[in-house]
Amino acid sequence: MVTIHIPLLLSLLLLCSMVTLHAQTAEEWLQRVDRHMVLASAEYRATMTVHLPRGVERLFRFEGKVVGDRLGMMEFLEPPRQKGTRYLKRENNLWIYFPRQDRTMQIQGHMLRQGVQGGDLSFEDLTESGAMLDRYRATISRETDTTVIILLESNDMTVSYPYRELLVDRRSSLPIRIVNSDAGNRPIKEVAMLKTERFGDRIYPVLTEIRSLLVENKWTRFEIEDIRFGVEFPPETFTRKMLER
Amino acid sequence: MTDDGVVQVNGVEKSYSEGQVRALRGVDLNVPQGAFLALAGPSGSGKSTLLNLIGGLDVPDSGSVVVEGRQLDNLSEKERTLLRREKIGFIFQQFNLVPVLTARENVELPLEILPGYTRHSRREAADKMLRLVGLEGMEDRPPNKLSGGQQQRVAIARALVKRPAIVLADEPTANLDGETGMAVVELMRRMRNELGTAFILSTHDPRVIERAETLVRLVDGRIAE
Amino acid sequence: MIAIRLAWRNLQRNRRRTVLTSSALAIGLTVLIVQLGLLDGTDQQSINNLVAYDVAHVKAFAPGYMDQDLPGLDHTLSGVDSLLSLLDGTRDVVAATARLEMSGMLIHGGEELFTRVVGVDPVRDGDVFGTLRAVVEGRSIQDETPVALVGDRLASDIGLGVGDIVTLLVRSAPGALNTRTLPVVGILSSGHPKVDQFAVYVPLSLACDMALLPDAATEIAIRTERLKDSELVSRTLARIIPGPDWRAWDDLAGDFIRLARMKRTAQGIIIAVLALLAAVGIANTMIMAVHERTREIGTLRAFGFSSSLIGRIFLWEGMLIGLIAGSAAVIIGVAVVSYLGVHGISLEAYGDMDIGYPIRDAIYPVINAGSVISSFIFGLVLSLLASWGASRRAARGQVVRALREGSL
Ligand SMILES: Nc1ncnc2c1ncn2[C@@H]1O[C@H](COP(=O)(O)OP(=O)(O)OP(=O)(O)O)[C@@H](O)[C@H]1O
Ligand SMILES: [Mg+2]
Repeated sequence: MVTIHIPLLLSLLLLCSMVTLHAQTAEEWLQRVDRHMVLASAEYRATMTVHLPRGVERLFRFEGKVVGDRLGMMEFLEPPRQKGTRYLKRENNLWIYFPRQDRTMQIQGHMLRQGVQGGDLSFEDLTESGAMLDRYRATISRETDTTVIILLESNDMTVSYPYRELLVDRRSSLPIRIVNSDAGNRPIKEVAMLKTERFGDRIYPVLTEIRSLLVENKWTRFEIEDIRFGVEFPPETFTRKMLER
Repeated sequence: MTDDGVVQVNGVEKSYSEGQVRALRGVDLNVPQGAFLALAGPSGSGKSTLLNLIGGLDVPDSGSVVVEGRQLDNLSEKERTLLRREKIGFIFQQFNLVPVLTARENVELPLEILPGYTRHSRREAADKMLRLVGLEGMEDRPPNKLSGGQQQRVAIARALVKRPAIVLADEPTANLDGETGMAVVELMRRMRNELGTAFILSTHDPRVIERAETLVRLVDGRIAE
Repeated sequence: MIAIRLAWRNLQRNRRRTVLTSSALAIGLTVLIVQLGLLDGTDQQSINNLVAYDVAHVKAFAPGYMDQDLPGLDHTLSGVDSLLSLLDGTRDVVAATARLEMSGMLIHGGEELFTRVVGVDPVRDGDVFGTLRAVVEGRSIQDETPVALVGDRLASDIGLGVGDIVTLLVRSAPGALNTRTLPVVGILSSGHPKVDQFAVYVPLSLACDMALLPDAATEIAIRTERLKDSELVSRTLARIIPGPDWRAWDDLAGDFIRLARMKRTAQGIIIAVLALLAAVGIANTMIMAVHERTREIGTLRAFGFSSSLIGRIFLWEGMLIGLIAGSAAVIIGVAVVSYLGVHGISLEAYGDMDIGYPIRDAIYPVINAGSVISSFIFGLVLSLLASWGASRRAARGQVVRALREGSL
């Protein structure tokens, strides 16, 4: 028993020290990014500003709860017209509840990838919080004193953006800028973390801008007002019953 | 009672309004063939009621009416209609010509529903009848282009055109002035003479009564001898 | 005969009343004939457009494709080339082509539109569909060069012109987004909103590349000898080439046909109400006529006219009104429909509004013998029914009372 444990502990220690000393491989960098970005469980309040090309701007405020990329619940607080509208995500299913009509609609398949409220954030983007490491092969393309550029390439073509380029800040291990590209590696969207905050040992972006690289002058800003990590949710939190409550 | 009469009425009673108005209270009458009979009596004495019963337009409450050997109260509505169609002619106080038809067409009318007539023979019969009643040349006139007397002549022609056994005329002169009325009665008599049709006229005009060969007086639904 | 003659004479005598009564019905029936002409024309044009640009005669899909709310790439046909060559050698198939259709965004400058990206075979498509011939500006798709055709409505909505560069963004079958930037080489105008407003046409090979689905199609569309045979051909093909989901045009146009039927019913109700009013007019006239002619009815009955014959006189009066009104309506209606059939009814007033038909610019009503005859018969039946009550009343009256009091 003991003989089995020693090498394991050793290798773990070794790994940890390597990580803390300096992350070297792309995978390691990605792991660190994921550690900040992946939400095992969290509760937040946020605003989303959708800026459309003709200068129209729409503001949405909502509260959300997430558990990894499996469960999610979101409720709009603003604008008044949307107030009370809730989104429930369970695995690959998404339901939207409209309190005015007291009606629930299920969003399926490719509809999941539609932009929410005309913005650049898809339902999927909003509710997905999985680790990138699981889905991409990573390589380092360039390094400077302060930043590392990591290229991600999808193992298959099942993700929205098969190619991604992450500009990671060495100090915080957070991506400052992400360029998302299509199946032919043509850039589609750029995500910029404009502001980050420290929450315990985690650094998390609180102001993010998603800009379309195809449509001129179209962007969405996502600002976290308040977030708590590692929240324990009662088991019924992510149910149709709570959606239609 | 002789049974060679064209009309035999035996003990006929008829009341209206659920028995409150007793229009006829036991009437016996025998009308021989070719008779020229006047049914006289005051208003409400039952003259029209009796004529309607003889004409098969209505049925008695009790008693029997026999026309041409057929007892009317034993006949169905349909059979009475057929009997009227063939055997009985009617003349009315208000002439009752069909306003949308010409004199000739009015006369042709009874033949339209009788078998054995062609368009041509109908026309011939009507024209002949109109000639007999003295309306030659007026065949194509509509009723409103004819005087009262002329209209009643058309009505006479219409009643006679199918050569019925009997013509029932309910106050045929009441809507005509005296002279015209007399002329109409004279015409009827002449037609009886020529065709042998029996005529029963209801009237309270004394001059008509004078010209009748037989006079039957009705008072309160009974025959007054 | 005497019944008709008397009926006719009476109508002539009350000429004003006859004209008034039959006018009401005639107007109702004219509206009906014109309305039906409009519907027939709309249906015909719609069907022509649907067949030419949308549903073809027969189509084959991958099983499950038609069950989706918004058909995507989850169910596609593979081995398209061999399927097409098989169809080429099949009797009853005049032409066959493959299309690959998916949802996507069309982006031009600051404009972004939801659209259907349709990949068309540059060689085969024209033998089945009229789409590639509907180019009104620029040129059509001639080969596999990556170019796009857009509808004129879509073009004017976002200010697109021939030579402009657009970007198409689609979701490929596996899930990855895929984009292509390509020039618009032609503008389409077909009359079918799906073509003119909601679709972008690109070469099939490009669409397959974008969908990451080589040699695939969402549908195979077929032209048969006659549209009428499509149902039969569809069934034959299902037997000889099992696997795909074979559908005839009327099955595919089901929504439209249902809609058309619904509109027909809705309009039928409006017309029925109109006709009912006219029928009430006839009924009224006839009751009045019976009332006025009570003494005449009594006289005729005394002469031995049967009650059914009396009833028939009045029935004929009503029928003749129906005949007059119907004839007038047929003459006027056919004239109006013919005129409109040549000049068309402009839909400009509706602008870009979706009127629920795959038609735009103008509707050309057509004269359909069936519609005209059934309107005419409808008028007759209506007037017959309207005079039924009066006729019954005339027939049932008591002779003695009719003569004595002039009332039934
Ligand atoms: N259909 C009827 N309903 C009710 N009462 C009737 C009817 N027909 C006749 N009467 C009544 O029966 C009686 C006889 O009427 P009828 O018409 O036979 O008389 P009449 O001798 O012809 O009178 P007139 O000289 O006025 O014509 C009258 O009291 C009349 O009011
Ligand atoms: Mg009397």
